Amino acid sequence: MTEERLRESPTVSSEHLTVTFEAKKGLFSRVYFNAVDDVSIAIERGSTLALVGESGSGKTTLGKTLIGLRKPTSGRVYFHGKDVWSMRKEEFMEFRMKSQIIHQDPYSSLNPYKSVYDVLALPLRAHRLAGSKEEEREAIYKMLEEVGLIPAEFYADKYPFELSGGQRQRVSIARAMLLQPELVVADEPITMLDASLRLGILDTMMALQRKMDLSMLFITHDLGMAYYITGRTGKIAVMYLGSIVEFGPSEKVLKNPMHPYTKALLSAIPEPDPKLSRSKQLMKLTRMDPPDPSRAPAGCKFSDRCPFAFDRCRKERPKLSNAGDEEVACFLYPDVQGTPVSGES
Amino acid sequence: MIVNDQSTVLSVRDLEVSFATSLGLVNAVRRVSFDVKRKQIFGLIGESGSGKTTTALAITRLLPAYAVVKGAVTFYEQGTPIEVLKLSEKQLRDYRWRHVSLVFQGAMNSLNPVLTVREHFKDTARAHGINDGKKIEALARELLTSVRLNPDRVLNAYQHQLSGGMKQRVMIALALMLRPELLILDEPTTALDALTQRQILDLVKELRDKYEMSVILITHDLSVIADTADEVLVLYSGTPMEMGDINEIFYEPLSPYTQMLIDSFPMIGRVVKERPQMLKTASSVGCPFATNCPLATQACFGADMYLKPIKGSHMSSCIHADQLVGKIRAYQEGGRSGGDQA
Repeated sequence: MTEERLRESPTVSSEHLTVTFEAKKGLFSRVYFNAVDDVSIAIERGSTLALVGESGSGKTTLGKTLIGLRKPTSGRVYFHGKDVWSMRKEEFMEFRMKSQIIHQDPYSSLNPYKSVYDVLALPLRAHRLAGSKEEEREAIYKMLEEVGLIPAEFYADKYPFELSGGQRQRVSIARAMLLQPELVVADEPITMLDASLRLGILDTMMALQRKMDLSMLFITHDLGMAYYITGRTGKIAVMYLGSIVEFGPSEKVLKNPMHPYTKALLSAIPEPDPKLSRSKQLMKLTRMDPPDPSRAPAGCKFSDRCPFAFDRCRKERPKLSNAGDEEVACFLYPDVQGTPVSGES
Repeated sequence: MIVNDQSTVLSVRDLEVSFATSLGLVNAVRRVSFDVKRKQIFGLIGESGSGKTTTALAITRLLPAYAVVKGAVTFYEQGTPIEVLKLSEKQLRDYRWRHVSLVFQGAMNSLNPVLTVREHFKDTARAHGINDGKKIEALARELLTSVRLNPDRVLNAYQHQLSGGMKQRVMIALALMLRPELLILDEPTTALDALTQRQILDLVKELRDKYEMSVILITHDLSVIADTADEVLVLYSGTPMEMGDINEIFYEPLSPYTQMLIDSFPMIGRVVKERPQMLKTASSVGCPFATNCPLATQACFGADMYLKPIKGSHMSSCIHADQLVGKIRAYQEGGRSGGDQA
């Protein structure tokens, strides 16, 4: 592949990515299910993809697989067009350095015995990025200021227990950004924080993203948050039981959803406005309770809850297909292709 | 002061809770006063450390012995006042569950893993002197049905066989066992997914109508309050900031803190222009929001923080509240569809 092609290819992409989990049922029997099921996505340089879905939909597993923390059962992950799992060792190390993750819980993702300075110095040392002590200190102080922990000297000597949740999450962001990554997976980075702190953290992340021309996968279950982080230009992918059911520009997906699942979610969330929230009409599903991931229906996985399901939905599995400006996996739209269900479920 | 308004179920006056720590007394709740009326859903909103759970624990007398509680909590049993803070242990037993029930935060984890749901009902009933097995069974079935669960399936289930939303509904059914006049729900939808959250919120409204009870709904989530509450008390750092009718709070907030909370809630279709900043920690003197407030003056740091009526029954503790009167926030026409047929 030429240099030209490398630059053109998306920062990260996946092809038919599948991660299979095994669950024990009883003493001897086991069931297998796909936590990530045939997912093909791409994130272009400098852009944000918001991945939304409910707990257990496979969002985190997909995020971890995209940055090489988990090996796919089948399918491929490409970093700048290169297959991650056939890389040479040095290439793989470089890929791991250039793709970072920000975890959900700032209370458990920082080592309580290390000061902020040591937490941040560790990745620099592991990848031998700082030539001298002075360089290391300079890089760390600069990053602390970038994430809003000012004065840097003051925060560098703190231990995690001396910091608030918001400040800890800023340290996590600094740790991820210090290695000058090209891809960051942010796994519900603000869910554990107080409402008043959330936007400040998001703004910090968005500013750094613009500055570093980062590609970002932002995982969240909060649709309002997904709208905020993707802004006017970002895209959103809606995940249900391991599959992407709808994908497109966030303005489109969140304002004019196509898939019945996205519609149901949007109709269910309360709004921070009494009149609007109370005037919303809930889209009734045939079953409101969340599904057991290991017992997904054979055809469309949503067919057992979907009020619009018809015969084809139970016999074929819809493929994410182009429909207007979006992609959707639902047979209500005529252009959507399907694969017939074989004997297995 | 004697309030004998038939419609008031619970009256809290100048409630103060402090904890004795090695660093001296720490004020967790300062001068909180509010009334909960019959059939009302009263929302208590605040961020972590705002004192919302502490307030609920004070109302149910569940605070640890080292907590210093001042003020008055009065429960009206058919108009007859009961001074909750003066009740004996024996009287408390009657007050809890029979008059006031509390469903704790994380209720999903408060079921005993080695007992079936039926045994939970039996335990609770016996603790309150109901020993007739048939009566308990009938009551349990009725309550489970009213929270939209199938008693045949749920009664024999252990907690690990139930989903988060089902467990939350079992907890609510248990709390309703002795038909309390007031149900306190602490973060009832946190950690539930969107569709389950919707079911629980709708259920709360439905049960309020069915059993004609009052509800105190404690949450950090502004949208849950907007969806469900009739009246709201906003707490910050143990201090009451604002109290009023749901529409007053959202469309004409009389506390800069409430304004900030509303502005920091991302919403589909809303572009935030002025991003609120919460960079400093709460002030320990005067108004806790003074360190971050755009309206703050020197006087705020010496302000006596208690709720004063500003406009009708709409109350605020902000000393600059009169500057905010008449600043109406537009009704948010969220540009969404959903619910409609594909």
